Amino acid sequence: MIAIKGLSKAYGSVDTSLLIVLKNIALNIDAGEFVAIMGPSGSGKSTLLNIIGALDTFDAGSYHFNRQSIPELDSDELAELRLNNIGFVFQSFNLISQLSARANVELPMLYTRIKRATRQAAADNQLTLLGLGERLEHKPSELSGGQQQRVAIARALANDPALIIADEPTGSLDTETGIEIMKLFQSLNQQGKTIVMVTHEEDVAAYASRIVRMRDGKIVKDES
Amino acid sequence: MNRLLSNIAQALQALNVHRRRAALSVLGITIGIAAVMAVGTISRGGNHLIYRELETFGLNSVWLYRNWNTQDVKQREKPGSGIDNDDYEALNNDREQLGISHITPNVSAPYRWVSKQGNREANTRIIGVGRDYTTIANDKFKAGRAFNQSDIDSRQAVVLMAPQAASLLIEPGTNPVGQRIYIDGKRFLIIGLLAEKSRDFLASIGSDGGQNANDRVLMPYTTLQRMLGHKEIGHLQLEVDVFDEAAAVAETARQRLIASHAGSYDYRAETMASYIETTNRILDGVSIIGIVSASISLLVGGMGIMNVMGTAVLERTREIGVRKAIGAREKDIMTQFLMEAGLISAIGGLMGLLVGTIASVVLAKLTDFPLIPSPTQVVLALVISIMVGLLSGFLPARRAARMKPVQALRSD
Repeated sequence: MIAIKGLSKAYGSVDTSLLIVLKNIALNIDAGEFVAIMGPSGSGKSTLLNIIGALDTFDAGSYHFNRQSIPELDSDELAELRLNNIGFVFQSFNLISQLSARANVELPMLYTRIKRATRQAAADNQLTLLGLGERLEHKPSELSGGQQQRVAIARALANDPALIIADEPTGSLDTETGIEIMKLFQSLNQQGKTIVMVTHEEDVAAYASRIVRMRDGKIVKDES
Repeated sequence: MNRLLSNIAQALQALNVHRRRAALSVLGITIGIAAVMAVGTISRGGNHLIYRELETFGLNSVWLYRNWNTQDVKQREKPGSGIDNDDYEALNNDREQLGISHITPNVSAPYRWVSKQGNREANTRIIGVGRDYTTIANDKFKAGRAFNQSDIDSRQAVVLMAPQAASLLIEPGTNPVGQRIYIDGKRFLIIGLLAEKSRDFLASIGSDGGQNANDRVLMPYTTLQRMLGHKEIGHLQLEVDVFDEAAAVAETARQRLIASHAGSYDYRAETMASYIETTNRILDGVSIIGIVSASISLLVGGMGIMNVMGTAVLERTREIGVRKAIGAREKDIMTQFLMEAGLISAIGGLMGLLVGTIASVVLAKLTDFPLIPSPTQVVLALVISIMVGLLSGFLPARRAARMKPVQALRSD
């Protein structure tokens, strides 16, 4: 599913102070894997995750997603690719505050032009599956952290993507809630979703089936 | 439709968060649109009223008079109106060739004449006219008939009465037609009663020619000439076939009068067309002042919207990043923000329509102008307000649409 070869990325320009964040990365991820990317802050793990999620650009090397070369796509084609193939879960949930839980989950389906009735039914169904059937009309501010993250997961699943990208999904949650969320990820993985997750907590990474460790922009260890 | 509704719903939710900030821009648009409406009402109402009153003179009318303001001393010493029955007949015979549809002589009687019926008396304005007079002056009949050729030819003692003259002389509740009155001691049969004519607005601005249209008593000019003992005509009133040719026809007729009197008199011609032109210029001037002030309000409102949207885009950078991450195309983000801008101005526009309608009703009441609703104007006002919103929202929306998702997500 994901094929990365010789990928490098730097900030700044050569004549000023060039900050190299990724050096010659090679990474293949197959459909159905649950990968945790670990590393200290500044190791480049978040940048790599953003590149895998087709959100960020890179300077050298290649990245193919389902055999499609990512640098060849323009911003709208990338949006389309994310819309249909990738769901995002963030550390700070990133729900849209003025929209209800249901409307947040509907959002990706709005962009895929799904009819209102279908959209609502699908959103309600997804939220109910995640235990939020009683919270459909609630605004994010009226939900607990764990509930908000489950709304975010429901939104990530809305267009039934093959890949879920999660950036520190338990970072803003207490341990107990974090465990619930990780169990949810595990069951999604068992249902066939490919998951790539960044974390710096070992016990969170333990839920993954493969751990990629990074340091100073390089992959230093890749173990299943 | 389905997407449009969702977009509007989302835009409304977003606006609701910052309703106080949006309110100011809404107000600007409201004032602008209300001003556009009020200007439209004044200009349409004024136009309609003035035309309706000018119509009581005949819109295609041309008047031919002797010109007393000539430099020629010998001419000035000559007495008389300089127009006689031969002039009238000559012009009347060549009507088709001259582009004249109707023509009437106009002979005035002195004001000291008293009209009487029983013990009622009044000083009425007696005018001697031809058969075409009532047609040219757009006079309507409440009862009876107009003069015919035989009334004119045989100098019949018949009159037409305008309502005010009739009310002074005729017993209330009776039909004047068929009744008799005495004018300067002579007996006349009333054959027609004219409808009321309003020149109130023109009179209020001193442009009714100093004549009340409702105190007229009309008789055949031939009859009046015999009572006066002369064959003179005070002035001629023509109706031209084509409105735009009024000035040319007037000049031709004027030249013919000069020629037929071998230069003994000079003449002047006045056309209703030139009055109408002046009227239009004044009304246009009023409209331009209104349109300029309306445009300023709309401009201020538009700048307000641009400001509100610029702030909204900055504040919601993270939301834009999230939306882009989950797959929104540039077009989707653009639509979202344009929708919000359009909605602010559409709300302003609708409120402007409401305020403008109320203002129009009040203005119409205050000025006595007729209130003429214009669906075109309503549509135009809404289109203008939405256009202002879309134009003002365009730059902020484009900035939002072009944001890089990673950078947008990183903002707080």
